[in-house]
Amino acid sequence: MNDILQSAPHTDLPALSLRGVSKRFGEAEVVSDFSLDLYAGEFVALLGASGSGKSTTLRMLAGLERPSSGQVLMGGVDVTDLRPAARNIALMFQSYALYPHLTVRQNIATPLRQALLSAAARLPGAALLSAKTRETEAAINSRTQSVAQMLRLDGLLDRKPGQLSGGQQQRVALARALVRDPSAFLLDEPLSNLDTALRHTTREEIRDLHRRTGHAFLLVTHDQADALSMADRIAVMIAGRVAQCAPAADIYHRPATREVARFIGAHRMNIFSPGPEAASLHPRGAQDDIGIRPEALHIDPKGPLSATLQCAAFHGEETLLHLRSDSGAELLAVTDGSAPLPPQGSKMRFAAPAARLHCFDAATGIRKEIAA
Amino acid sequence: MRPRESLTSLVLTAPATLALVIFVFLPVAVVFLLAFTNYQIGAPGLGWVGLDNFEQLFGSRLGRNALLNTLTYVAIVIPASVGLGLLVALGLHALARSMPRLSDVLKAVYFLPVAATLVAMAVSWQMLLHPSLGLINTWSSALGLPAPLWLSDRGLVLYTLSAIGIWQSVGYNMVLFLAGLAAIPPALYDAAEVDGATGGWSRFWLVTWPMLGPTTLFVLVVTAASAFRVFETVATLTKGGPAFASDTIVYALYREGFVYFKAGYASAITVVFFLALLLLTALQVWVIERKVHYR
Amino acid sequence: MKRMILLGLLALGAIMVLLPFIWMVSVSLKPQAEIFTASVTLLPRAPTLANYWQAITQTEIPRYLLNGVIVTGGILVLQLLVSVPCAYALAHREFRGRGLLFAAILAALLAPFHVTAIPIFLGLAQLGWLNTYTALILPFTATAFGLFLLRQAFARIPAELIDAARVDGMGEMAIAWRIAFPLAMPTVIAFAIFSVTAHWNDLFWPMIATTDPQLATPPRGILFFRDAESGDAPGPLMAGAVLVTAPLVLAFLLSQRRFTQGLANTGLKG
Repeated sequence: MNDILQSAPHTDLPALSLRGVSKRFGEAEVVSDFSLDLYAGEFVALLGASGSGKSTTLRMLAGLERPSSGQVLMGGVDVTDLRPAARNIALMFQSYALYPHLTVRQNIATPLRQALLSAAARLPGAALLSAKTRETEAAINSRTQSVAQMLRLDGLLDRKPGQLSGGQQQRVALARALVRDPSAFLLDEPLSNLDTALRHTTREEIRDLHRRTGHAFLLVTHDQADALSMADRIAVMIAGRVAQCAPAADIYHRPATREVARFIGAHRMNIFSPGPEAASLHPRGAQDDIGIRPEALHIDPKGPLSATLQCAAFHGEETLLHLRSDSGAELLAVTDGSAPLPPQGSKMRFAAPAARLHCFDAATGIRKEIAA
Repeated sequence: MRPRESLTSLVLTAPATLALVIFVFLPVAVVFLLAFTNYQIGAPGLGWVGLDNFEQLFGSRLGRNALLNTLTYVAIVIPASVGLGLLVALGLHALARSMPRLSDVLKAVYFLPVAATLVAMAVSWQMLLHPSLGLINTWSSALGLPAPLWLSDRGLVLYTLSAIGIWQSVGYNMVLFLAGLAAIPPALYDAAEVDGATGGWSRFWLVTWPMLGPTTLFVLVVTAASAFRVFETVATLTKGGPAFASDTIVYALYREGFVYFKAGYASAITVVFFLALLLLTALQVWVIERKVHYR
Repeated sequence: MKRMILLGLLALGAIMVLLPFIWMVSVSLKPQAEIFTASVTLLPRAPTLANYWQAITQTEIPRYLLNGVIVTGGILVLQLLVSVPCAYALAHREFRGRGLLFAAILAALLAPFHVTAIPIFLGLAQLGWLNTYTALILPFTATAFGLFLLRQAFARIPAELIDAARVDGMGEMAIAWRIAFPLAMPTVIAFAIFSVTAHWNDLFWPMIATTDPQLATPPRGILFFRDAESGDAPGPLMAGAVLVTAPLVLAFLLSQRRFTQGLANTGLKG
């Protein structure tokens, strides 16, 4: 069954790439000079806040939106002017966009019917007249069956989308996207309409689907947990540009810019503007920004950083400390939930390992490597 | 406490309930009874005549003529008014993307006949179609076309009235279709595009038409119901003539009941009219349950 | 190119829709001599307001307009007076027979006014009330449609709000009028537009209930006028038609959105 789902032979050329793509809507430039390569078998996440331009980028990849400038390539071939169906790209919509009047079977078969049958042959009853149409219909049917089986939809084929649960609808949307054997698979916020329990299992299912099909997957999401847990590489998108594109661990441990550093991580990174306080943490702090993640700060009576405890929020396994440093900056620190804490308003001292300090150019915000 | 609460409810609901009983339920019951009598308005008594009135309606040339005229009128107005309403709505919906202002102006124009007083507009139509003083025939003569007697030619009058009926209801249907079009999620069109439905035609059949299903059914029923009731234009323009060529069921009801005072016969016409409308509503409910709600 | 064709077709249709309106205004502005001529033109060559002057000073048109205001206003006020308390009770009170009453309203929705006309006429004749304003107004007090629309609107008001008013010591009638009614104002306006339009334009019942021209509503009056002038004075007739149509058309043009909602979303015509 898997043979029908194997994508084209892997080549060295990226399955999908954007070259210097920009998109303007009137005055506003939503995507600026965006470049990204997606190789066959790869799983990349496009991570950004809402309004960062990630959905527009996805729509340009799919062919639903035409770039204002730049190129979209597939396997090295320019497809910028091709319509979505001609690109053979699968797209799973955030709202699933299932046709409510068609059964699950018909929904899944739609891309094949549009591609393989002429308008006349799509009319009801056309199969009675032509043997060739009958043959094609049979092929479409068996293909639909096997994709449905893979996504555990076999029992639901004759239902309408309105009769399915959210998770089932999501799998129908996946099946419709997969049925054509696409050369790349785009997912637009695929988990945002699912509850927490279903999210976890669905993440696993999508990863598993990726492994089994070997397609290039591109996931668009605003949720870093989704991106970190599923993707091989993450492209962080800020204000229409790729701020950093790297494996998850790199993004977390070595953020390329101050913005990425602030965007990634369960708690917002503390950034010290250049000054004596920053310099006390690292000599570079005299002229550069110094960043420390809240989880890297630990209480140390001999530490260089002195701050007043504003309030402590107990979260079970950890406690969040809201602090004000002596220079007046708001700070955040995470400690063990079982650690004893001084009363509010007390002075505390903190230290951080040098290896977990980040240094950014104060003007440009670009990361500077510092020796441990 | 309880009795007082009940009293309050009674005070709140009694006037409306009473009005419904006096002006809806009681009259409907009376009309069904009268339909089986030979009651004449002003006559001292009445007699039970069974199905005579219905026999007269379906059996006489005049009765059958009114029914047939109404059905013809309905059969012309429904497809034309619904079809044109859909076309105009599709056109304005497409136009709204590039020229929203102009689209709004045109929408107001098409809706104008719905808000206007139909009788006054019918009087204007009468002038427009006047054999010698009217604009239509002046123009068609100038183009070398025949100049027919729109409202006094027995073979033509029903079609003229149908055209005015279409003119009057297209805007209403357009507004309903526009609302239906606006409610289609844009993601479905994106999905259709990705799935390979690229031409306007295949997009229409894959997304627009099925998604408009409930709207279309509603529009059909509303148009049918109002076409069945055609009265104002007939009363204004033809009084059912010439020679009953444009006699319709509601006009016949009016004439028999309130010109000839044959309350029994007019009640039978009313009953048939009412049952036809009920049948239509039942059909709508049945179809909605079965097909259009996609559940 | 494709867009120009689309635009052309839509504009052509719009002109056809507008033709009777243009013609009505045009003839109303033409001097008598220009109407009775062999060379008929769409627009007047020497426009004049004389026809309007004649229609206002020498005919009963102003009377018809006044009757229209009295009748539509009277109907709307009565409908609201009767329907608001009942719709409020249906939406926010528990009482025996509530389900039955609501079912009765839904059933009454099925019966258009034509169905009840004969018995109501007979009843009014019995009471000697024909040819009065009462005959034109009273039968429309019962409005299943208004009750239904208002009940749906009132049901959307949170029950806590109603309970808060009760705790504050307001009586039920006061809650219906001072809390529910203002909160449902958009629906009330939609219903008012529907009701006024329907009865201003109605011809069926005024033709049945009155024979006295002094009581004629605008459409009925226009027909009285037309039959009296019998083709001699099309100019003033058209001026009258314009005057009768103008109030609603102007109201529509001034608040298109509300009007379209009031007439279309209600889904029931006439």
